[in-house]
Amino acid sequence: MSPEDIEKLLEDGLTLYGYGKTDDAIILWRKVLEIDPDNQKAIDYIQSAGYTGEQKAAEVHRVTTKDAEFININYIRDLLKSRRFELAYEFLEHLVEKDYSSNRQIMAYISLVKAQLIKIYNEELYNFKKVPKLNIKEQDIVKYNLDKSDGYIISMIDGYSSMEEIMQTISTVDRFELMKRFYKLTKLGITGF
Amino acid sequence: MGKTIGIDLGTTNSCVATTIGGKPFVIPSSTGNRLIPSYFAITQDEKTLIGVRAKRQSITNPKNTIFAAKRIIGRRYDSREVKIAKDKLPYEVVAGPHGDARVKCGGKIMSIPEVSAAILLEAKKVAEGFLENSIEGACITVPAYFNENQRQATIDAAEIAGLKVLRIINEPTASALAYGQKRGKKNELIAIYDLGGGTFDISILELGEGVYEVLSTAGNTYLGGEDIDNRIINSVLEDFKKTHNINLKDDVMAMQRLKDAVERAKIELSTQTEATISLPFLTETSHGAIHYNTVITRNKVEDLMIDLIDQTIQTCKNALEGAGLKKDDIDEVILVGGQTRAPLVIKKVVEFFGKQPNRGINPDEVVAEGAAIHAYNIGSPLPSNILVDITALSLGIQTKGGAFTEIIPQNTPVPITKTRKFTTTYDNQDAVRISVYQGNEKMANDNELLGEFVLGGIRLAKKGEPNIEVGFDMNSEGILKVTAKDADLGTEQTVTLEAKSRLSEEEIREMKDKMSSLEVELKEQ
Repeated sequence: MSPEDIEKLLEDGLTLYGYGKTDDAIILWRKVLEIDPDNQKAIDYIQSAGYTGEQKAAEVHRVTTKDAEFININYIRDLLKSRRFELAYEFLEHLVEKDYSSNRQIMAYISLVKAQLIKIYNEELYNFKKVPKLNIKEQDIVKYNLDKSDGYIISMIDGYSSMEEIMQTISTVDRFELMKRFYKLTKLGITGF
Repeated sequence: MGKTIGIDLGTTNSCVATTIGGKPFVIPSSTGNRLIPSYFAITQDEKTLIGVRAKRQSITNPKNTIFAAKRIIGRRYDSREVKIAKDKLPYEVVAGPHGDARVKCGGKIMSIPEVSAAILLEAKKVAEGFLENSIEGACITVPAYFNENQRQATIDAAEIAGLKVLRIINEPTASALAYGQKRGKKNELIAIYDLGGGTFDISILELGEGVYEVLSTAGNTYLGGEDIDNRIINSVLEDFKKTHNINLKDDVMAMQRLKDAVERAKIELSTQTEATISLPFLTETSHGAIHYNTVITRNKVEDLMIDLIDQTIQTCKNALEGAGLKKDDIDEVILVGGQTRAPLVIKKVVEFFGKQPNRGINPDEVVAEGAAIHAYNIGSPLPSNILVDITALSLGIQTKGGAFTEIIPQNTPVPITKTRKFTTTYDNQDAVRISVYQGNEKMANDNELLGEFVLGGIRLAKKGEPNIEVGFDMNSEGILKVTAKDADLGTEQTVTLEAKSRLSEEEIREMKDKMSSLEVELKEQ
């Protein structure tokens, strides 16, 4: 199996995880470990997904976990249990800013939470295939707590381009960030369909 | 049987039309747009965008968005035009394997016909989608001043896009055809004032019964609506700097929004005396978001553009002189190009020609309409209009000291055959190189090189004695045949000139395959 195939199994696992199919995701990641027993991503994903039966993962966890991180990890697990994924993502981003970016488990959690959020965004925003419209008067936009990236996204709403098509034309903002912003604008009632 | 279409392949916008019952009909896209911005882009995630969507990210993705490809199509990389364009374009222009100009987009090197092919592909897609029919062939328009290389490159673009070219026709001729269909059968002299997004052209035509003859043409390839937009943008940037002490130029998202808003405001000012620009959350500082609101007046915009419009009027004078006419001789003035909707343009045209322009045609669509009419006429058993075109640029050869010696002057009706005598420059010279150029500059190298060949076996004699006849024969399709003959010995060499920078057949085939894959990708989008 080529490194590309392994990478694909890891990615497919993330997609399945994003759709709530944790067991199926773990099957794929374990397949990776069968071929490459030291694959750190697979170990981290299995561990972060809460699967305790994996001997290798548990070992890694014991070796790398420091006290402070352990507290953080527990807090993230609590957030995930209560399905507060957006808050979990914000907290994880905060940890990355605080120099935890070298912590593999935190990075694995980011991938997992991202996958979960993408699943939610896809479900609630019709896989981004719908054409968004502005639900409020243009002069009322300034009443909201937005930033220039939000302002830019709003300016791209033209009445015939779908969210997916709009996202394709915005190269200055990362795709996940765009999805998040579309979700926020919809939740705030600024945009609708 | 498939339908025929006409395509106005513009510098900033393109338009596609067909005929229904012999009458022209502009085809809207599935989103209702009647114009296709001539923009091509490759995004960060390697998606290809054409038209409106490519344009709407042109400032945020400047290196990978190709626009105004028409300015450099069929040009040599080392030509003066490419040098000028390179300074003005945000994307990278590089030298191609045939000395042609190419562009870098999405990490790939693309030929200009390939970029234009993508726009033509979009036009074809719009037409096929609307007509629910395959396209049998197309008439494509080019500016009257396009040289042979540029025309050939446009034909190559159509071939890459999988379009059969029925005819390449000049834009003013197409406009005249569309106008002609709506007029009575009288003889008329008309002026076509075409101010588009990137270029200005004025053409004088004589319309007889079924005969359309171009008498003269002149223009400015760097004067158009976008120059006016840029002036408005600069004025807004100054105002923003004054109010907020922020230079917005480096903020690509803000600049993209500003460009879109200015374009909309300018269109609004064609019918209203003021327009509001409202851009919430345009930018931000450490103190928070900045919203921008301003009112632009028509008077202010007219002050910003008046010198540009005056330049077009000066060019109109030159075109009339070229045709040997006075402005009173003109029976009708036709306005072409979106920018001619500006009241100041209409006012200046009325002042100069002393008459109101014809209001019966849509300036954005008339060129495509004319091309569609011509495409229909080609396939029709009925007698069609005869189009008499002219050479918008002089044709000649390079002579002593690199000078350009004219053989067919500018504004000569085609078909035409002309011969001129030359001689040798040194004793016992047995061969001469004939370098054929097209252009209006005095030095050959400042014009476009069309081709070169050598006439050998010249009678050995003192310099200046041999008689070498160089003949130019241009047919109504604009194909040039050049003959060089030693009149004393009868030795003759004839070549049909093909663009030196032309793509090879193999390259065209490869690009066509790539374009077919893109066509599938676009259909899936």
